[in-house]
Amino acid sequence: MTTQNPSRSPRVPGGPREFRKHTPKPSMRGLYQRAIKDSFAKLDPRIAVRNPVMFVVWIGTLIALLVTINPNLFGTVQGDNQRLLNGLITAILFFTVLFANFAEAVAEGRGKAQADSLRATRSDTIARKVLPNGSIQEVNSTELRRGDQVRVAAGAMIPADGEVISGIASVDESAITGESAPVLKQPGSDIASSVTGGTRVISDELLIQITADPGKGFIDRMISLVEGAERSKTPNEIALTVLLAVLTLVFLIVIATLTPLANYVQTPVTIAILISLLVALIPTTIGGLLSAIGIAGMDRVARFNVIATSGRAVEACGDVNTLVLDKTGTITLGNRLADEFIPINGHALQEVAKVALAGSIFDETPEGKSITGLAERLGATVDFDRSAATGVEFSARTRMSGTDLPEGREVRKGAVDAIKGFVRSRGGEVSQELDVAYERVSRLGGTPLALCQDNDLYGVIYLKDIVKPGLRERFDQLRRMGVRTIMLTGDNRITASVIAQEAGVDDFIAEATPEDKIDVIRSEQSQGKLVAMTGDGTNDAPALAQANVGLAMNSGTQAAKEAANMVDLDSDPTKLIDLVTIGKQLLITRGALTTFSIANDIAKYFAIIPTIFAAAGIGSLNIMRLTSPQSAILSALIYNALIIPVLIPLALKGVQFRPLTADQLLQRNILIYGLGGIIAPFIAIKLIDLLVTAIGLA
Amino acid sequence: MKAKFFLPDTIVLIIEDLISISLEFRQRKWPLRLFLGLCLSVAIAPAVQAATDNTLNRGQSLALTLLGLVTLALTVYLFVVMFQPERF
Repeated sequence: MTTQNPSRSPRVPGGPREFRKHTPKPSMRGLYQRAIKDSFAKLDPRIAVRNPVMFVVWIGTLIALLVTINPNLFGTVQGDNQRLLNGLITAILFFTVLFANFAEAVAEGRGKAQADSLRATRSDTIARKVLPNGSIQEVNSTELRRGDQVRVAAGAMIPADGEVISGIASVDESAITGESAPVLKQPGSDIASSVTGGTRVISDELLIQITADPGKGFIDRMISLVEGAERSKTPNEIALTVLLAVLTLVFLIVIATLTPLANYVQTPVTIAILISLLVALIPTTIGGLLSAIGIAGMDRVARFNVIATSGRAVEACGDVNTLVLDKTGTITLGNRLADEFIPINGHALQEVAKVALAGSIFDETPEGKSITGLAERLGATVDFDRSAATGVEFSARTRMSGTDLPEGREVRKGAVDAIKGFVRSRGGEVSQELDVAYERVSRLGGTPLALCQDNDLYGVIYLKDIVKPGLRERFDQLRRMGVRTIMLTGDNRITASVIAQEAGVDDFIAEATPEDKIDVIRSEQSQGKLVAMTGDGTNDAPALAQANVGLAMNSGTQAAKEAANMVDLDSDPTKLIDLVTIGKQLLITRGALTTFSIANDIAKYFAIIPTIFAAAGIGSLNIMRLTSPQSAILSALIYNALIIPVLIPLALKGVQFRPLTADQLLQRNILIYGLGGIIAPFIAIKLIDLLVTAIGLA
Repeated sequence: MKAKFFLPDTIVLIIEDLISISLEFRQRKWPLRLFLGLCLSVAIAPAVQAATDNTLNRGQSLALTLLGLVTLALTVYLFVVMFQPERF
């Protein structure tokens, strides 16, 4: 296989990501115009009420508007230009609300654009429905129901999600996955029998049983999720909302009870100034950006070709403590190839090759095909009637596969223990030579497959496993972040330990059965840890449902996709590691902007309080030397409003992620966003004050 | 034979209107809340005016009362957010 021209190479789930095409690129045309329109629509109190901090600002804006119209509305006010000052305050507050709405609208717009690009793949098509009497009726795809059967010929679009009942065909799934190479779909196989509506058959014909009613297919669910239709607040968002509500309430009570104090120190303050003070002190920056950060997190995951069923799943990625990873396809390259036959019990190499060929002719897995390839290269041929022989499929329970030959002989290959049991059950004996060969292969990090015919052991097949390049560094990064990695493999202990050491995982479970997956997840969860895992088969579904983050492969079965809370369209299990990074980035971004927002308050105190209450003898605290109380209020409010659009790109893109421990990250964030949050507004407010004074606004 | 009692048409119309308004109030809670808030302001405003030694005129005391009620409503709203954050 060449990697020079990836578009021509066969599909390799987990192949180099840089060579893959992406899902249809969302169109961002008109995004900002739509966002501006939506920011006004979000002024509707029924929508505004969902964001407590900004709702308080919105109410403040309306009251400020009233005192602009009538400055003496709440009592006679002294001073000139009260109407102008109140008008300016109203305008700035209005823009503060508008900027916060704009941040949310932009984030939502990006999600909608992503959904539109997915919607473009879903179009109504005419389906050839198979009626109970066997005749074909042409119906619209929207009329198909779960359980209906349809025939889809080359060139036609698959009308809805389903399972292949008969036929073998190449299917172009690029509309969904972006993967240009077609995939082979056939019945019976756990993975290859599942088809998605909106994909196209490019050769031959399939008979498909529909598994989803209209509007409930995979793409439909993806659209509603990406669009945010099913978005609900995540636990961290809820916690932060409570914190923001508490802070807002505290400042509201402080401001509401400030008038008697101000009157006592003979510095009466107007309602407009009280509102300004309230808005400057409540955490408007994070209040305005909070939902945008959450939506952008979902969007980042979607751009990464992963569909998350909820924001909760994305957030859980950031909190994951343990990654449970399959060895094959995730840690090692998916295709283990037969490298050598090791004869035992006095059999010649040619004999072993002949039996290996006989045992693999019905094996369509890459391993099986590589065994037949190696055997044929060694000159082995099939000397029996293939049509009279029967293939025996591999199962997780028997852990072996093979062929029942016409004359009653049974050829089996599989896990050494399983083959030993098979040989003994046929009255044979297990020699020491098998263990020697088995150990030799295991110590090389390969997978040994024992080979037998009836009760006679022929040898061991060495399946070579290659650890994916760069994984060791990724696992080191995860370790530094405090994430533990556990490798699960059906291989024996020696092979597993060699691969685990080579890949750099923290722990491994050898000779694992599907049940072991769920056991290891439960055991980790019982210690209060959050666990992430990947899976694609039906037998992975319980474990995917049990894990805090279950990433199903798009090439996997419907059951796996239903059970998981994330689906990877590229079917690359290694992505779980990247998802942890995205989840952490989401949490760090939210934390960083919260720190920045609260740190900003310090500068605003120093800007507004000393100038307003200068008469009370605290004028010396006006360390910024702001010109007047009016200019101080306007400068602080302008800064408060402008910081929201300035931080929108950061909220959408996320804070740059570095693989550090939680303590190191906290220190770093406090230094950058805490200290920065204190210093930046001092400088910005002073500059705005100079500008406001220069143009004569105050 | 029992004599029938007829209400004048105008009164019937007024009763019908009142019934439809009360039904509307049941369906739309916000107008009712606003109406009750205004009634409460009218009731409290004289007390506010008296407390400020009549430095505020009637309109100003009514506006200030309304502002106080808005502040109170915001406080209740923020408490609801704190205790039922998933609703927002």
